[in-house]
Amino acid sequence: LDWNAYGRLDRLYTRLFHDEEDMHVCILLDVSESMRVPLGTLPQKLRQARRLAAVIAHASLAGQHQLSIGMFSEGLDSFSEPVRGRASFHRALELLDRIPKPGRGTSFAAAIPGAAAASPRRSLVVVISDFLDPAGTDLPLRALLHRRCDVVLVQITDPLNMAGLPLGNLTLVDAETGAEFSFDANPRALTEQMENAERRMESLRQWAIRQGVPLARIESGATDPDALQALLRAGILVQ
Amino acid sequence: MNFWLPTAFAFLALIPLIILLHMLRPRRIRVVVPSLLPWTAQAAEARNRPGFGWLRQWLSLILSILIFLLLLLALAQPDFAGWFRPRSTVIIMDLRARMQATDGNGSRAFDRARDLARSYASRARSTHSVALMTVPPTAALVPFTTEARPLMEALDRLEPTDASGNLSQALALAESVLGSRRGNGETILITDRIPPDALPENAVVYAVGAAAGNSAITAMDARRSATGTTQVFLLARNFSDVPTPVEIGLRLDGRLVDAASATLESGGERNFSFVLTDSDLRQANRGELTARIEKPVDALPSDNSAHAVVAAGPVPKVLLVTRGNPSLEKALAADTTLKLELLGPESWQAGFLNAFPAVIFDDWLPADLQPGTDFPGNALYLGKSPWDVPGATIENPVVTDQTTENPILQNVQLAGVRIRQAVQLELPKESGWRTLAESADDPLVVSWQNPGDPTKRAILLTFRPENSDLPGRVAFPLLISNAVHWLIDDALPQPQTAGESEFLQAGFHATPTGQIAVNPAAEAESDVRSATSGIHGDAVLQTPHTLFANLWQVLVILALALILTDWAAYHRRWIPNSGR
Repeated sequence: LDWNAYGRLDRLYTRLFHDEEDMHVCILLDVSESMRVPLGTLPQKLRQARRLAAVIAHASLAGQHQLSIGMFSEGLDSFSEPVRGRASFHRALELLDRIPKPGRGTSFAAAIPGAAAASPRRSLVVVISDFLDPAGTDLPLRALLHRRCDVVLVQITDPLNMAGLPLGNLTLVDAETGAEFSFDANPRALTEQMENAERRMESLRQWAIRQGVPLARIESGATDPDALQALLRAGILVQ
Repeated sequence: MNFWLPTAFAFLALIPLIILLHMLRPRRIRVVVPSLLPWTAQAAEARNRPGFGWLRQWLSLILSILIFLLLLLALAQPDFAGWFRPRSTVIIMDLRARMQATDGNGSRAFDRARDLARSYASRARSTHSVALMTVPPTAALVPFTTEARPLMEALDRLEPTDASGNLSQALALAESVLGSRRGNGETILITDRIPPDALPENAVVYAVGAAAGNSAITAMDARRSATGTTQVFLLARNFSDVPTPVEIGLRLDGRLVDAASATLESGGERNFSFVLTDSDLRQANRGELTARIEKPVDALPSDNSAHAVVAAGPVPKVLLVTRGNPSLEKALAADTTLKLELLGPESWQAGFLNAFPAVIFDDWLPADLQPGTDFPGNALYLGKSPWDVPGATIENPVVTDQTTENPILQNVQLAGVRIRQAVQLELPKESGWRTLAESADDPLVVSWQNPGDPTKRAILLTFRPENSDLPGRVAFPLLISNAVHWLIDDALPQPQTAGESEFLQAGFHATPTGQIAVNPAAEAESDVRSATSGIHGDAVLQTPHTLFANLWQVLVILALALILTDWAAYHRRWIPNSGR
């Protein structure tokens, strides 16, 4: 209430203020083996992830926000000092190009706490990953939310039709764990696998809806317009 | 354990080839994927399957070798005969005329019996011997065999007869045959009704008949009269529970010559008689006479016909060479079934002996006729013959002995005939001579029949009829007629009954002595009212043991099961590297 105005005019007025907050944007990029090893002949997911990270970095710097870029696999492999301003975009690209020697596996539980500790509270944390963590991503991501961080998820996926796999009798080798699995890649089995993958992605989507977290799902081979459209649709660039 | 084809084990040498082929099979393609998380459910399922350790790696090869060994064993055909108690089965097929009876669908009882016999014959194997017997004739058609093929072939050839038979005799024979074999035995009798007699212990009767009414010709005879006609007698009987009108047709060489109709009472019989005229007989060639119930067509058609052979064709000619003999000429002329030709001795020509079926030399002989048995033609010698002892005579001979069973002396009584003079004979040593009447040791009436050719015949009277009182007796024309008909061999063979002669099928049959008629055993077989269907008796072997007897089939089935197991294991991914 503007008490001065009330004193003068004997009427109540509400004064509105617009505070320009200095927001900290933290991009966490999954650089595990699952992001670097393509599925058959499909494109590498990490390539798409880096392009999207560059877009988000540019939008953040253009908005005069502080930007940190972290890379994680089995743990937090790197976390950059914050940069600010449009001129720092080249620095951001350098960070995205300079991927440290990562671990093979993916562990949100090991990586996210480190990143959260390095980021100021109430940061905007953009997690770009395929979210293929055998231990699950629920608890680590909720820890971020407890730190009053705004969390945005960008899921990089392989196409659901599994077109990159050859047909026939295959021995599938897990790029991260080295585990093997005999798989008869026939149309019926591939359909079954697509349904499994769809269920996993739907599970993440439901979690994001429940937590009020924006989620963008972008295929590894998606074109730039499609990828940007997916980011806009999820409201990520607006934030 | 023995093997029927032990050389099959030579194929064991192919096992290394199977192993080589297994090793050369294409392997799975290894594909590195970002993560196996999308396959989590399947991977967990695969991990939870019972593991066979090293066995899982080699399961496909083990199954392949097992399949190969099973097929090899099946090819070698192991014989377990020594492992199990052998079994023997005698199948008795009823071939009696009644098995031709049809049911409402036109199916013969015999056809149903044969189908049933085939199912039993198919059980023949190394541990189960099967023999096939028939009635009639009561004999083993196929001895004990362990192979179904000869039994099947024999069954295919079988047809029911027109004869009757004795089932009890066949059952007793089968029982005695089984008694001499080790192991279990049984007799399978397949007939049209359950026999009233008690069955042997291990006998089973399969009745495949169907009750039906039937009419039959149960007897037939044809007799020639002295007037040249032939009388035909029939006896028809109704083996049904209702009166049955019948129409009977009489055919001579297939041509209808007479017909009659009557109604036969239930269970009753009726005589029919027909007369064949000389004209009918002369128009025929073969003399095959058939009587048939034309209507109704009943369940057993075979007994609707009866057969007889009658004299047919032109009247046979007889040549009498005489200087004149009125009594002899009258006796011959009285027989209308003969045509008499008279000839004086001065007109005799050598070819006449062949030109006539019978020649009568009345106290005269051709000069060129030598004593012997190789002369052509048939002849009756009266008073003189080529075998006379020159100058040796017998005065006032008395008939001391005569046969009555010979057709020449049938109804001829020579006892008491007064003979003034007879000649003595010197008969050759060859066989075929038979003395029909004699005085002490001197023959008076002699017949000769060539053993090698029964159509070559001769009759000798050692006295002239005029030198006796024979022409004044009834016996004279009978003797002359009998002698001439025996010479020309036109005696009508009596119809025979199927099964009582060498023939089991009714109809006309050619024999060395001429055509004979064979009739079905109608009286014994035609009553099919008691025919029924069912099984009687308990046997130890009714259920065939197929598991071990057809071991090769079991082995093949096992091999197929293993192939399916291999296929399922592959698709269930129990076999990790079984790419194909």
